[in-house]
Amino acid sequence: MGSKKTIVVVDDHPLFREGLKSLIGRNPSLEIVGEAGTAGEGLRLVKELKPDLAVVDISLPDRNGIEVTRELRTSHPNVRIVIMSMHSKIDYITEAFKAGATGYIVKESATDRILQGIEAASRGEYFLDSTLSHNVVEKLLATPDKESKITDKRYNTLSAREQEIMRLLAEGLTTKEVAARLCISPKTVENHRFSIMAKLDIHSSIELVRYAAKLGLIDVDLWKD
Amino acid sequence: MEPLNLIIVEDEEAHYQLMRLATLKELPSARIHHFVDASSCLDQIDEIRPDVIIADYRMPGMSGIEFLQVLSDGNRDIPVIIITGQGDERIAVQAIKLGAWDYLVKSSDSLVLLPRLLQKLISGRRLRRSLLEAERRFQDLAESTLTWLWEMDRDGNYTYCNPVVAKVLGYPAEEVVGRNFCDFLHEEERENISRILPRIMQTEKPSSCMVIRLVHRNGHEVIVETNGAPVLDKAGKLLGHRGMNRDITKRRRAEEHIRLLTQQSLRAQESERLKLSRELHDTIGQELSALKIGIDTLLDDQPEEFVHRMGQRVVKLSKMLQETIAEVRNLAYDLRPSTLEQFGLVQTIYQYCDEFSRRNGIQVHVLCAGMDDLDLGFDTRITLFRLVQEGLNNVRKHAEAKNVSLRLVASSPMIIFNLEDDGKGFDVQNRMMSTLRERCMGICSMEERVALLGGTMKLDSRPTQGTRIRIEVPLRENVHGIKENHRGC
Repeated sequence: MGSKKTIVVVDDHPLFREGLKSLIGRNPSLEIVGEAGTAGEGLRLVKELKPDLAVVDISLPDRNGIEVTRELRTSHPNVRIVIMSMHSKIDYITEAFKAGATGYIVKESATDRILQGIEAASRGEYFLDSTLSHNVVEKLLATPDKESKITDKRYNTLSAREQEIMRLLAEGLTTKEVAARLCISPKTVENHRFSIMAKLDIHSSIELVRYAAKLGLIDVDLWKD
Repeated sequence: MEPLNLIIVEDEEAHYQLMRLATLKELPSARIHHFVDASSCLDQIDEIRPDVIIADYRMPGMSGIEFLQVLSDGNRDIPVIIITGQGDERIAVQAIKLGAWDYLVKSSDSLVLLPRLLQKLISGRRLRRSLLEAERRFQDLAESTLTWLWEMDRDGNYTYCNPVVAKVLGYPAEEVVGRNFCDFLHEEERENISRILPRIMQTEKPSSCMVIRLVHRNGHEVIVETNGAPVLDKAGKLLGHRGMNRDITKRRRAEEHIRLLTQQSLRAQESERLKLSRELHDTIGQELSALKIGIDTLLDDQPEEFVHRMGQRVVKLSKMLQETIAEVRNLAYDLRPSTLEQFGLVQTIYQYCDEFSRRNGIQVHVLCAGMDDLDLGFDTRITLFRLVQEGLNNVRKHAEAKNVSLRLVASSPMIIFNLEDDGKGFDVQNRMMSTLRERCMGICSMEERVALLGGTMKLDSRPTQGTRIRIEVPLRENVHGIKENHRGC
C-alpha cells in the first residue's frame, strides 16, 4: 500500500470527533487530515484538502449532512462520503444514498463496525450498517405488506376544486345543487365531473360513490360491507 | 272573579223588584244598589263604583238622557243600560249616541233579556281584564328581562324595542325604533348580512340562534344571539318579524380566551417536546455515542495483560451504553418525530403505523389520498399526527381490536380523517361512566385538538361493533409563508 487514505471529519460534537479520531487511528492506512464542526467549514476543508473520504454527521448546526453530501457529489465527485447518524429510520437511509453517500453508519453501532464502514467506503464500496441492513431488508421484503398502506395515486391528480365537487357529488347532490352551493354554473360543474371521472378512471355515478366511500370522503360503515 | 256591582235607577218599586229578581236568578252573587232618581244615585256613585248602571229613561227629576250626559261629562267610564218604553226607539238611538252601552225596551221579554245583557257585559269585562293583564305581564317581563326584545317590519325597520336595547347598544329604545337593523351591524358583518337579508326578511320560518355582530354606540363590538319568528296577518301575509337578542359578547370573549389559552398551552407543550427531543437526540445521544467510542477504544494502547483483565467488563459497558443510546433515541422520536419536518406527514404516519402494527400486533391499514403535495401549516401537521397517535393509543389501550383502518384524505376545503377499529366498541351514551373515564380522556383530548383547528369530530361506537371516529379539519396550506384557506366562493 502506497499512500494513506485521507479523511475529513465533519461533526459538531468535539467529543465524538475525538472518539472517531482514536478509532480511525487503529488503522494505519487511514489518516484524518482535517476536522470541522459545521457544514460550511467542512465544505471549505474538502475543497482545500481534497480527501479520499468525508465522514459527515447527518445533522449539523448550519445545514444537514444530506445537503452537504449532495453538494459534494457535484463539486467533488471523487470524494466518497459516509453519513454518520443517530437516526435508524429507513427514510433517512434512502435519502442519504439518494444524495450520493457511499456509506451510512449509525453512531451507536459497535466500534468495529464503524471502522469497518469507513474502511469499506474509503475503498469505494457501499456500506450499510449490518444492524440497519437487517431492518432495511425486512422492510423491502415486506413490500406485499405495503398494500396495507396505500397512497391513492389517481386521487392525487385531482385539483382542489375537483376534490370539493367530488365530495358533493358523492354526497348525492345534483349538478344544479353543486352549482348553487359553489356559485358556479352547472356547465362548469359538468366539466369538472367529466374531468374527475376521467382522472379516476370511473364511469358511473355509482362507481364515484363507491370510490368516495373507499377513501372515507362520505360516511359509510366500513366493517359492515 | 269579583261579584257584579250593579246600580238600578228605577222609580217604580214593582219594576225594580222584578229586575232585581231576574238578575239574581242568573247572577246570584250580584250586589244590587237601588235608587229612585238619578241625582241621589250621582251622590253615591263614586262610593259604590259600580260595574254597570241600569237606568230608566223616564224618571222623576233628571231624565235618563240627562243622566248619561252628566256621567260622560264627569269622565266616568261606566257602562249604562237605558230602559225605554215601547215606541221610544228614537230615544234609544239618542242614548247610544251619548255613550250608553246598550238599551232595553220594557216588554214581557225585557226581564229575560236583562240578565243576558249583563252576562255579555261580564264576559266583555273579563276579556278586557285578561287583555290588560296580558299586556301588563308583557310590560313587566319586557322591562325586567335582560334580553333585548324587538319587532321589525318586512324591510327590517324596528317597530318596537324594549328598554334593554339601551344596555346592549347604548341607544334608548326611541332612537332605535324607526331605524333599520342594518344600521347597527358591524362593518365586517354588513356585507354578508345584506347579501342574505332579503332571504331572511322574506322567510316565514322562525330563525334560531343566529349569531350577529353589532356595534355599540361607543364603537365597540357587541355579539348577540338572535332568535326570531315571522309575524303574519290573518290572511297569512308576512308583516315582519319579532324576536329577541341576547348579548353574548362576554361569553364569546371568554370562550375565545379559553381557546387561545388551550392553543397556547398545546403549542407550548409541542415546543417543549421539540426542545427536549432535540436535546436528547443531539446532545445527550451524541455524547453517549462519543462516550461509547471512548470506551470501545479505551484498551487500544494498553498492555496485553490489562486488556485480558478488563476486556469483558469494557464490552459489557459498551453494550449497556448501546442500549441506552437506543432508548434515548426512541424517546426523542416519541416526543417529536423528526421525520415530520423532513419527510412530511404522510411518510411519518406510515412509519408510525408500521411500528405500531409491529409492536402491538394490531394491523393498521393506512390509506392516504391527495395529501402528498400539500404544504400544510405546522399546527395542522402536528395536530393530525397527534390525532393519529392518540387515536391508535386509544385503540391499543381499550379496543381489543385486530384491525384498524386509518384514512386521511384531502377533500378541499377540508381534510377528512377516518379511524375505525374492529374492537369491542362501547356504549357512547354511557361513556362518562367511571370505567370508561380513561377512554373518555383520550377522546376528549382529541376533540379539543380538533376544535382548536376549527374542525369537527364524530364518534360512533356500539358494544361489539367497533369504534369509528370521523374528523374533519379545514385544509390550510402555507403559501409563501402565508396561511391560505381552501374555500369556495
